[in-house]
Amino acid sequence: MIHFVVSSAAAARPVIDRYGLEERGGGAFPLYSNGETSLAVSGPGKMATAAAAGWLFQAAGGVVDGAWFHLGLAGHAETDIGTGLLAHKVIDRGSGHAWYPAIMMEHPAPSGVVMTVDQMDLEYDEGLLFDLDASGFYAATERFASIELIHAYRIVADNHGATLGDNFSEDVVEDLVASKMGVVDSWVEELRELSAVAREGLEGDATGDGE
Amino acid sequence: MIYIQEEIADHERTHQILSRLPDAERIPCEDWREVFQRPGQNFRLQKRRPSLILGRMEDKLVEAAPPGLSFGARRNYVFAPMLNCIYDCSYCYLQGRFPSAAYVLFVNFEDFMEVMDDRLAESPDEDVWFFSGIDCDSLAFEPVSRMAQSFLSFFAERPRAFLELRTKSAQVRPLLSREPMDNCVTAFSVTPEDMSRRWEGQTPAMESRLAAARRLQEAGWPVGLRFEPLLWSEDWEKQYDALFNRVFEVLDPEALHSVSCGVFRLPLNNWNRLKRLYPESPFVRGPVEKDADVVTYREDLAAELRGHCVEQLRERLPEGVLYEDAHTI
Repeated sequence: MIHFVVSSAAAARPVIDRYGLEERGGGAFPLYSNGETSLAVSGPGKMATAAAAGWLFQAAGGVVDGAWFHLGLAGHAETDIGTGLLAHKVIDRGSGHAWYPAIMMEHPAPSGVVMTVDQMDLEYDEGLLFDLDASGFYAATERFASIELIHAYRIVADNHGATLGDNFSEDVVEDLVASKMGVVDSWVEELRELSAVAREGLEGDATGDGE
Repeated sequence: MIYIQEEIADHERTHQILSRLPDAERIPCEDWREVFQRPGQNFRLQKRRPSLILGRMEDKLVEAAPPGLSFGARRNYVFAPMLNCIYDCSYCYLQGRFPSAAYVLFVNFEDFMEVMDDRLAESPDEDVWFFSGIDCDSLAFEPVSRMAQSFLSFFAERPRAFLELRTKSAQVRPLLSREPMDNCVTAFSVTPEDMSRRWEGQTPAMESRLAAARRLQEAGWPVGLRFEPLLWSEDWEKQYDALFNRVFEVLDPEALHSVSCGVFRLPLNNWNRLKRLYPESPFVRGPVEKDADVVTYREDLAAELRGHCVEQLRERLPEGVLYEDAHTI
């Protein structure tokens, strides 16, 4: 089982299309699912992201050690717009807390450090990806899954030389996310397998004779 | 993926190690524990693709050896410049011993050596033993770490200090490239080939280990053999007899420094971790029994296995070489 959290409907559409997800109405957040894959649209910000992840966990049956994936945009000082980076470290600027995702997948894409801030500005520190959501995603999901099963992927939408600015339309966001679905899909398959292995271990826990 | 503790980012050994892994992605971290001991890790998943963490060990540099780990000396210590093993042996106490399966390499070898000198100074009139293969394999990571090479240079100048390098690898080049030292014993863990293929993931074939041991013996280095743990399977007797025959065809028993054996056993806490990670493991589901502290084979099987192997080894070895019921943990 894999769960996606995204911050906007535009970022959600390529995922919904790829996995044939159907809308399941009536909840706190827009929810899409096909039984094996689910997606919640959180809205922007780390609080909303954490709330949506927690809500999705319950809505999807409360299954521990499912895989979690956050797909979103970020700013980066010098990286080209459209570049995808998998987070290998996520820092919450407000608290200083850091998470180190354990990347077990083959990842043909490069990785980077994501700094989650409360408000975006365009004065990016060198070398970091800036977003609004990743720390909230990790703060919530680390309670439901091991760190190997939780990943955030960022697509650069702003840098010092160029900003999408007024062109930052839903279509552009959708196109950016859609352009990365190939690589995301390959990770999703690996994460499904890793999740299954992790869940075998949980079955070991349930056989009694504990410490 | 290599995590690098900021404090040792400019250590000469860090640069050397990184130069041997030019393609790995490098991630700075404040402290090695921040990554190694992060909450919510799954050891079994990480074992599929372990990261490397370069860090600095400040305490626990050299510690007293467990009581069963001695070859006659009074002063015995363990040291671990590396945590975790590149191999994946199903029965090993390292399975889940640490929260992470990442390899931690402490680059401050000089701090380990300083404490070793302190221990030697505390016992000026006797030999002191230092065992390195408890929390890692002593030689398997040598192409990256050059750990043995560094410590051999240290021990070469201290004849009263004895070093055991315990390994399942065949990486003996760092030893063969220098003059043999009477105070360094390379101890090879040996297991019947079929059991090794089933339960010793990623280890070199037994023939490769024996060939490496023979090269060392021929070059004049002290060599030890560790039949630890003795393992049970339906045809264990046939397998161990074949192993003993082959081992003593390849190696000169008269020239062996020491041979030890001990039946499979795990401290209960370690076994519980193993059970959580691999509930279907034969070391969980097989003929094992537990008491308050330890899990081992059922008493009748353990006695039969031990009795036969000890008898076979006694027949083949000179007096004083065999250490029975060895338990390094």
